[in-house]
Order: sequence, then C-alpha cells, then structure tokens
Amino acid sequence: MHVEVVQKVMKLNDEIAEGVRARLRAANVRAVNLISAPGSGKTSLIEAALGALRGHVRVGVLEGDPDTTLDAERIAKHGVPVVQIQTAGGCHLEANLVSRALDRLPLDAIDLLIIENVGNLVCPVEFDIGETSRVAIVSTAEGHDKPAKYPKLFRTTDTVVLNKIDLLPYVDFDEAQFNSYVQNLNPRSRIIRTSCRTGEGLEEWVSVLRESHRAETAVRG
Amino acid sequence: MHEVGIVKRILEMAIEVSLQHEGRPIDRVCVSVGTLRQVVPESMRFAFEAVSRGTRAEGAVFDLCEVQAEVICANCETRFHPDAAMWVCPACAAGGGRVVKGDELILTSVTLRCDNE
Repeated sequence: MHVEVVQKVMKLNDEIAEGVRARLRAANVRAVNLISAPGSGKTSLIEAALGALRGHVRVGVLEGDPDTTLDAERIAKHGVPVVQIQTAGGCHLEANLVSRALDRLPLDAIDLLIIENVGNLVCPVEFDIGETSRVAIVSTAEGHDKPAKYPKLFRTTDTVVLNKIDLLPYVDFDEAQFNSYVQNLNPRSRIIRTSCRTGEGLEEWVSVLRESHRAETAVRG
Repeated sequence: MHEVGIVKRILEMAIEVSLQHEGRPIDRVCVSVGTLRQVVPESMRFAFEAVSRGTRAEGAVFDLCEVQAEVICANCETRFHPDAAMWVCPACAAGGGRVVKGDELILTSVTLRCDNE
C-alpha cells in the first residue's frame, strides 16, 4: 500500500520557529542568530558589543553549547540576562530548545536577543530557530575558503563578520578571494572586519546589532 | 551529525502515516533530498537503520532520492546546475543566482504492508 505524503521534514521545527518569532514580535524583541565555527570569537564579539550597547539597547543572550556553562558565565559578568542552552552533545540549536529557553528570559526587559548558536558551520544552518536575522562569523585563522566549503550559511545571511583581522599578517588568508566567494554566494552580503584585540571594526559590528534591533530582515523559510 | 535528528523526525512522520492506516508495518520510506542541503545521504541511510530498530519500520527500505541543484541566473535568467564553489552562469558568466531546486528535504511517500501482499 503506497501512501503519498509530500511533507517537509522540517515542518515541525519551522512551525515552532514561527511560534518563537511571533512571541518575540509580540514582546517587541529582535533576535540575531550568530553562526560560526568553534573558536571564531562569537562570545568575545558579544562581550565587546554589550559594553557599547549598554544604556541604548536592552540585550538578552542565549548561549548554545554542547556542554558547560562557561560562556553564560562570561556573559553574566556583564549584568545582562543570559540563559545557557546545553545541547548534551547536540551540534546545533533547534526551535524547540530556543522556545523553552525563552521562558527563562525576561522578554519585556529586552529589546535585542543575541543567540550564540553551537559552534558549527553545517548543522545550525539547517534549522530556523525563530531569529529575525542571521550573522555568519569567520576568523582569519580558519582560512579564506570557508564560504566555498560551507556555502549554505553564506547564502542565508546578509551579514558576514570577518573576525581576528589582527592575525592577518601571520596567516595565509587571501581576503580578496574570501570576499569574492562571499559575494558570489550572496551579492547583498556586507562584510564587516573586526578584531576584539585591537578594537578595529567593533563600532560597525555594534551598529549592525543596533540595526537588527530596529529593522526586521528576511530569514530563510 | 544532525542527520540523526532529521531521520528521527522522518521516522516519526512515517509512523504517523502508518497509524492513520491501522498501524500497518512500514516497508519503504521515500525521501527527496536536495544537493544544497547540508546532509550526507549515507549518514541518513545509516541513521535510519539505527533509529528504526524495534519500531514498525524496522527493516524498511530507506529510499533516498537526491535532487540536483538548479539555479537561475539573476542577470540573464538562464537555468544551470551549479557544481563548483563559485556559481557562474554558463551563458553570461554572471556570478550567483537564485536557487530553484536543491533545497528539498521532503518525505515523499511511505509504503505500508498489506495482509494480502
């Protein structure tokens, strides 16, 4: 007996993600989903932004990691609401994890929710978690070919942060090649060059977060 | 690694179909997976065998059909199959393009065992 189904496998996750999005919209909160490889500097970039946003934008943070609460402890020192989602070895955040974590955040006291996804350039890209916008972060030490090797992330975001640019003199990173890979995958992409050590580009990074606080940008369905 | 979670969901969906039809055992599960999806077909097949054990889908054939990526050039609207890191239109050499095929991740059909088969 053959039964035609034709149903999206991600339907359930996508429905929960829509629920998250609706809840955030009702509370007037924008959510930015940060996706990168482990060690690209996501937590440092968040920490750098928290100081600059203080007094202007009320920020909450969701930290996704397979294990430990180390990142949440780093963020908590800045005095902002933070929830650590431990995925118990899981390689990405899914909408239901984010949905449950929202229960533990004071949504009426937040304008901007920064979600640090699990460090991974593959799996997190496949799961809509109800974000308003998505940011890809690559550090120079990872190599310029990352967009070519992990194209989907760069097709589904308009903002790419190139972090650790202070290391450029020491690594074989062909920035022109990197830019051309990114532009080829998404001509609308804006690339922001940052270094948390020297502070270069951090103003622009903060302004991106402020913009995401104001305007809703399209996220892949 | 996320293949296991995705395949678990496929199994749940197939079992829902079975339950709508007197809980008949599942013989075959057909899925369409676009080549732009970052999933590994072989990992999905392996995961299906593992997660279906002890369920009404144990031993079922996991029929995975890959859908070749297809892109429309934003400049001249030529359709082409991108096969390299850089997408370049074969007609006008413009870069990039809009995806029309290759992002699929769909459960297409389930075959259930009937008593008279």
